[in-house]
Amino acid sequence: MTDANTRADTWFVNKVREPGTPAFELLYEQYYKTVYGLALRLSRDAALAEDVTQEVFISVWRGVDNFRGECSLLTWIHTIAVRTATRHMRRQRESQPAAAQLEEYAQTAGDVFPDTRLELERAIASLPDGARAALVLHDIYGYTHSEIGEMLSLAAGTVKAQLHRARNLIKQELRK
Amino acid sequence: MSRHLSASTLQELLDEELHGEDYQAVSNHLQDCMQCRMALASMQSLVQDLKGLPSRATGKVPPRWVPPVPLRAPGLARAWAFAAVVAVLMFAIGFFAGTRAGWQLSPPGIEPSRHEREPLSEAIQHRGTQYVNAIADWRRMEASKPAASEGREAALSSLYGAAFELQRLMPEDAQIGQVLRTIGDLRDRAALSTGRQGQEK
Repeated sequence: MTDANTRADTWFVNKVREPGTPAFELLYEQYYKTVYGLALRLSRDAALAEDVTQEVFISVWRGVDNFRGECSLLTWIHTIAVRTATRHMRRQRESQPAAAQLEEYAQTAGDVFPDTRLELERAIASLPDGARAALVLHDIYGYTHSEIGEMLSLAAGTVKAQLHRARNLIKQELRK
Repeated sequence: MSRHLSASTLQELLDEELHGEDYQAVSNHLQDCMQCRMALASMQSLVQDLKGLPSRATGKVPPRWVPPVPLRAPGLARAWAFAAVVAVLMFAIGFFAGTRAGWQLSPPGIEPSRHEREPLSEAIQHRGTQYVNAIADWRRMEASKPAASEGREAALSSLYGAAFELQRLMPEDAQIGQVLRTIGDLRDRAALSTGRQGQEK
């Protein structure tokens, strides 16, 4: 993260901490679409993604004093989103989605991301939770293995293995 | 390196995780091995496609959610919490002082303690009123936007002064002593903060 980004994030967070400024609303406006998109891809469930998004911003509001500028504001918010989504998903027993569910998800993804490629979204949604999270965070959101490890409380090596598995599974899925 | 590269090695190459001798060995192998070059190209194409997917939802998203939290800074919320604690302590002190003024709180038949028979002196009433007013001033100053640091410091000083006078009149009261120390800390921090801001200017 560059110094300029750090300064901009710190300035923004300080504004959020100040009384009587609309900075939190601006922060919400700036980041809620990326948080919702991430939560949707992680959970494959539009209603759950909406709940996760709300919970993330409540956590951001409550925890804004804990932001130390050690990572970018977006990374910090994404970390909260990943942990919140993972916690919600753990409550639901993981099961391989049926073809009809994948099709339904692909339609939702197409509505939410108009420029996306539906066959890829469908293939990503077919992945197991751990592999999907590693792939989404690495290949779509651009995080490194160690950053993903921090987010998911996993070793970087485990993340790498999950990512490789995810790519191999996607290749197989796309060949079908 | 005579054998073909593993899928894992190819992915490490794509993710720019090979360095030094490992990178050199893989590069050399790729120059000579058409099969590995094709496998790499296939993997590269998939990764490029994945990296091209949008990360931000630009289409149909849920209606804008209104945060159910008041738009007040967390720091200020803590100040209000502190003010609430002070108010509770004030109530406790008032209650204590009231019993000293001779309010009949003991049930009939029980001899009131010597403590309860002592009248509340005018001085305590006067200082107590000043103290309550100082708390109100300080709370108003905290709520003002933006909180002027000088005004906040002055309000805290007044509050400290009022608490100090009250404590002087009731030296045996441990609670007011504790409140005085807390206000003193808060005042010192405010003075330090104002000093820093002055230096920055």
